[in-house]
Amino acid sequence: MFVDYYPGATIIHRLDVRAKLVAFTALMVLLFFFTNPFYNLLLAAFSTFLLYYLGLPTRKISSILKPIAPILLIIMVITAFTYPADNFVIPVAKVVFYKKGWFEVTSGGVLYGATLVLRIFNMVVLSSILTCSTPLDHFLQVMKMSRLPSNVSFLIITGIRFVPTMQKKVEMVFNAQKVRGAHFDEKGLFSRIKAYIPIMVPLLVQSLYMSDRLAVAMLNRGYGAAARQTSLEEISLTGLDYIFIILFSIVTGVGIYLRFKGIGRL
Amino acid sequence: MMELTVENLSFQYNRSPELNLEEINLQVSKGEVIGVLGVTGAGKTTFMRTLNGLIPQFFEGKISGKVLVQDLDTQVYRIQSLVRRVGFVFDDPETQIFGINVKEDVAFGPCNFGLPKEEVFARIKKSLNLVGLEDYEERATENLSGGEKQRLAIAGVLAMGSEILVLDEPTAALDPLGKEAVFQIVELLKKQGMTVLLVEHETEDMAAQVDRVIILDHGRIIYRGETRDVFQEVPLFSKYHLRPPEVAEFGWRLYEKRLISKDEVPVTEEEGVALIKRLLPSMAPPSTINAIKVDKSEGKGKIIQSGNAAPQEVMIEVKDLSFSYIKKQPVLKGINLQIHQGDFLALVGQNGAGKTTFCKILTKLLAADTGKVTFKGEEINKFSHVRLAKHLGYVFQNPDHQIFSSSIKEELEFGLINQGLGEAERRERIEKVLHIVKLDKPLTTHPFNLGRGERQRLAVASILVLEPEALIIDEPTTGQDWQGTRNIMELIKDLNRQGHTILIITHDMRLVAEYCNRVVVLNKGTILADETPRQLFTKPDLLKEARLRPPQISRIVHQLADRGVPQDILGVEELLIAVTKLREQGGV
Amino acid sequence: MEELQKVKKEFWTVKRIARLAILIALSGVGALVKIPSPTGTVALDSAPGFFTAVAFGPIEGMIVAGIGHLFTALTAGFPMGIPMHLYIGVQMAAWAYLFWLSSKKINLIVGIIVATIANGVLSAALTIPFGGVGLFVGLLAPLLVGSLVNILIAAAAYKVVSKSNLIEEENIKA
Ligand SMILES: Nc1ncnc2c1ncn2[C@@H]1O[C@H](COP(=O)(O)OP(=O)(O)OP(=O)(O)O)[C@@H](O)[C@H]1O
Ligand SMILES: Nc1ncnc2c1ncn2[C@@H]1O[C@H](COP(=O)(O)OP(=O)(O)OP(=O)(O)O)[C@@H](O)[C@H]1O
Ligand SMILES: [Mg+2]
Ligand SMILES: [Mg+2]
Repeated sequence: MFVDYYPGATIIHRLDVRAKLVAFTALMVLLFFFTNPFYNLLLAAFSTFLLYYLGLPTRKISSILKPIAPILLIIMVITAFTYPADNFVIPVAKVVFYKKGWFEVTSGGVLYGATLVLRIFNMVVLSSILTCSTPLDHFLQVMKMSRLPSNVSFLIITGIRFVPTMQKKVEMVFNAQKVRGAHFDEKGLFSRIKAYIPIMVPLLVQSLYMSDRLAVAMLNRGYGAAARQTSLEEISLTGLDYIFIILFSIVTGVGIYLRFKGIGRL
Repeated sequence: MMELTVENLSFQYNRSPELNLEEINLQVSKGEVIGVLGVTGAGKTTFMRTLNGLIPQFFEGKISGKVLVQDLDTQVYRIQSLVRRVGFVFDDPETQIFGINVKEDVAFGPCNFGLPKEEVFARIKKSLNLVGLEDYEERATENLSGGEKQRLAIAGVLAMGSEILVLDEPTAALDPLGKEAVFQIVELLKKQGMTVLLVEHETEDMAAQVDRVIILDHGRIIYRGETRDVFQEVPLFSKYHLRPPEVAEFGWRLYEKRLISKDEVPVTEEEGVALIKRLLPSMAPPSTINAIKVDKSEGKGKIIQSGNAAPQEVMIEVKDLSFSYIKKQPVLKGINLQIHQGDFLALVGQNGAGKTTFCKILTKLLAADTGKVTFKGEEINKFSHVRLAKHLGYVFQNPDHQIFSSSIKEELEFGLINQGLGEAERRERIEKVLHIVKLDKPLTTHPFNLGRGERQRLAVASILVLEPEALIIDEPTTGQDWQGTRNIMELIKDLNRQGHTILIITHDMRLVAEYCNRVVVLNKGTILADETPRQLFTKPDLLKEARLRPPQISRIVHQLADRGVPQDILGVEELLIAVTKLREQGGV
Repeated sequence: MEELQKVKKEFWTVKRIARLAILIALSGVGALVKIPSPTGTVALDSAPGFFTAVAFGPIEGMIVAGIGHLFTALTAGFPMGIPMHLYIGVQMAAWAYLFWLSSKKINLIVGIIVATIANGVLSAALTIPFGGVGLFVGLLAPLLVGSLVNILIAAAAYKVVSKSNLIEEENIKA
């Protein structure tokens, strides 16, 4: 499938997807608790460790990090230059390195920039860890079991099933244009946009045709016959999962406590 | 109680200007297999849709009359309830498969009914066994071949426990053996007491399978009867633009010559063989075998056989071409091929043999891993797509993949504008091409308001308008009725006569025999044979290896070697001549 | 066997579910259709969502735009992290609604302008809590160009398709 699941036998692979989702949510919340980069640095160390532990190929890791690198750089630089000292409360953050008019480079700006960068870094890396260690199927099962209306989960599952089909359609439409000498490398943005209309139109038209046929096929297989559909597989939680869930609840609890103590501000 | 009762059924789609079904009456009892014939637009699919309530519950329109499934009125019960009794398999395997793997897909129906888990698993097993897909449970549906997909679709319907099965052109996109496999399943189901309605353009296999036949035309049942009676009525077929089995056509000609009675007209391969054996009772002495010469030029529809003609100029040359989508799984392995100016070449092979892939490389849509392709001596890598389009046109299998404009004119202009032609010349070319393809609709017509056959013509026209010297056409006749098929093939033949080099991909061996002067068999990534259809169809073993099936007449001829019938006979006419001559010789 | 019920005016008809599923899958692969632009390549991933909004109404548009974005992100392995994509998904749904509203209540041109500003400028601004002003500045130009391209193509496709009889009359009026 198109989602990058990497099979493996690590603890993270073996955990139930629900335990992973609890942990993931807890970590995402923690990322936003503290503006002091120290805490996000801790989390970054943790997520880097996990990334290493999962044993992903280096090529994969660089494909995760490369696209965000320029964004992280921009964030760092601009934040460092745009946050004047009076935004910050702790003395370490109030050091002014350079000042001209409203333009002010402060230690706080640099530190805050670092927090933002680490936050995004963590978000991206932890998301990848989640998706690389869990087959898509498990997410779908959680979705089916959840309170989501069954129509919505069917929509998503069928959408996923049709991604490869649509991929082929895209390819075919492109080829059909190419053999008639279509230029996709026109000069000027607007001519380029115009060259892509012949791609989008047949794709949409095909999609509409297909959706009619799909609807007939759904009815034909009794979609919507019974109020409750049989669910074939059920995933179950193990001891390890409970330990994991409790662990992350404690960590989040500690995080909340620290936050209300006013720790971790800039 | 009848399994199906249709009484005075008439129907008109909301958007349709005329009645699509008119006064249909039909009764089907349990265990019957009914064949449904009719040209495109005759209303076959429309009729089938009324059987499980899709009409009028999903496709809306004016309906009168009644359809009863067992005792359920299809206008009263929900589609979802009716499908437990009537299962419907469509021609298009793509949209009727839901599961990401085989097991999930078969389970879809039973799960929708909320059946207990154990029951669902039992049904999966049972229906996969029936269609011959045991041990496929965990396979990803995406990677199944066309034939396997269609069998899976049947399994998915069987798992719902339906006792009536409707198959609407289930074999349209399948290779000959894939078709055979589907028909074998029908036979099996019939033995199990299932009631089956089978819509097909493929009459040869139908004749051997069904008990009764109905012919639809303009929404009315215009003919019905026992299978033998219908298929023996050969003139009926031409009257309604249908293709009779070759063997029936042959038999009818004998009947016209008063050599046999009408009742003796064979409708299946076996009957054909038996009949000819009866006509040529004497075991011909081995020395006379092949002594009979059939003047091949007497056969109709033949094009000059390139066999011993002077070698033509090489147009496309392929050298040591290899290609793989996934490393270590080569689709094409060291292909060598020369396509000559004026060839009418058929590329055949089973589903997944790599035919489309090969043509994509010729047209530079894919780049070969190794080897090279040259066009008139120049490597195609040196061509841009715009320049290549002037020499080599590629018509896709599905016209809807290449049609995108909001009028016929815009559609035809697209390629011309890409080539930078001026207004006047564009107009001239468009007029010319519309004349060639015989598409006489206003230029402003929206392509999506054309019928499927007309869209196919437009697709051909949109390539033809670029006046390429060579044309590659990928399965031009899939899903077309006999009339449409012949129209398209005649169009292509005309183009060939005017000097265009043609390469078509097809699964229809009868067309290959009738139209092409050269056939290339692709199998497991290599070229297994490259010869005239006549030569190819005398080699049953080779064909079997490539999972191909020669046309019906050739199959019959192969069973008549001991009667001195030349093995390289193609088509009805030649067989007729051979049989007549043999009879004269034998003094019958 | 249950009785056939009178057709209720329910949103989740089978036809609609099928249409939404296919259009969402199409948005998922829209990432494969890339147009080079001065600000980097633009993927046609949001065009199906905007198209759906004008062709089939606001609710369908919001579903395709929102879930469609998640699909695009999914096929790319969530390049900005899952929370960010959830957040953008919600925004995309909102912009699809805006596009429908302004193009139906005023006209298509206004719709294009409104939606481009929303998707280009507002979306960029809404990333400030995540990445500060830095991210805003970094995203502004590519987002603006990207959304303009997608919305223009959606509008043009709608123009062509609406001339055929593929979109039912009821939908065009809605
Ligand atoms: N949804 C629809 N709305 C309006 N008209 C329709 C619809 N579906 C089919 N028709 C029309 O009804 C007629 C019968 O079509 P139908 O699909 O039943 O033909 P068919 O015999 O199955 O042909 P084919 O061999 O091409 O499958 C055609 O004229 C077709 O244009
Ligand atoms: N884009 C692709 N990626 C990976 N594998 C592919 C792709 N396209 C085709 N294949 C595989 O390559 C093989 C050859 O496919 P191809 O479409 O060329 O066959 P074909 O002879 O045209 O079959 P058919 O008669 O069904 O049209 C098949 O096994 C197919 O599954
Ligand atoms: Mg039909
Ligand atoms: Mg093919």
